[in-house]
Amino acid sequence: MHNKEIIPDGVLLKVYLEGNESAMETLVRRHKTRIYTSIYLLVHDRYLAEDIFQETFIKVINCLRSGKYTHEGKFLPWALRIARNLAIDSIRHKGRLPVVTDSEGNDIFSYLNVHEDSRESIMVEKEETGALHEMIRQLPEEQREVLVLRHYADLSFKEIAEMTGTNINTCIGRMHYALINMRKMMQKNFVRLK
Amino acid sequence: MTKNITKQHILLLSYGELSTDLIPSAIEAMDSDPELKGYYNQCNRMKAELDRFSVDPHPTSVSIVNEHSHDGHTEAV
Repeated sequence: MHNKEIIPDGVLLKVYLEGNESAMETLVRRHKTRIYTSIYLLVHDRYLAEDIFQETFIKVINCLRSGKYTHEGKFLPWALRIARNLAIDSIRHKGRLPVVTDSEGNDIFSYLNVHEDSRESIMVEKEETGALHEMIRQLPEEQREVLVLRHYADLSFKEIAEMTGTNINTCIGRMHYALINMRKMMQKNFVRLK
Repeated sequence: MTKNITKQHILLLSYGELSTDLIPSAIEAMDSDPELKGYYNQCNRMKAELDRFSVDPHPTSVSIVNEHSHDGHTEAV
């Protein structure tokens, strides 16, 4: 069992395609936290993140089955690219929702937002990690994306630049300011730095 | 020859992405520049702080994915 952890992703993909079903389970187990955390920090909704997580792996599996996979040996960046695109699509979809007002002119979707917040409040999160999540959430979108993809998804700055269509120096700059802003927020919120 | 080391280089060093040939220059620069050294320590503290956050998908999601991966093989057969 332990030996599976050191088998490279590319080899696991190959043996999965040869019919070894447990190889995909190993890949899922190996990368699920990294991929799910990244999705969650991009969409900030546990339920939506679950959907995107499932859809990501279903696309991965379908793509493998159809023989379209060409990123040999680079499974994680490929899977994360799919996850990120799905996350962006879902955020855009939310943004395209028409504004429907009630009889007093209030946006009725604002009620839905309240509902989402209350759904989220049901989640049991430790206080400290909840505060950390909130600080990440407050970062400007471009900084948050680089921080999530570099720190939580463990992509290189080069891979992030390719994924986001920017250059590597822009990514490093965004990460620099993300860390500065996180530190400021931690100091403001009296979060003790290790 | 010591290359001009900036905070960008130090950030790359902190994330293990600084090219090997620049690492000695970066270490030398931090030894002589407390600001760069402080920035390096700050990056590492922030990384440790960020490491405290991670979330796992619900076991049901993992089961759905695993079942789908098995279905594929069933269909293929």
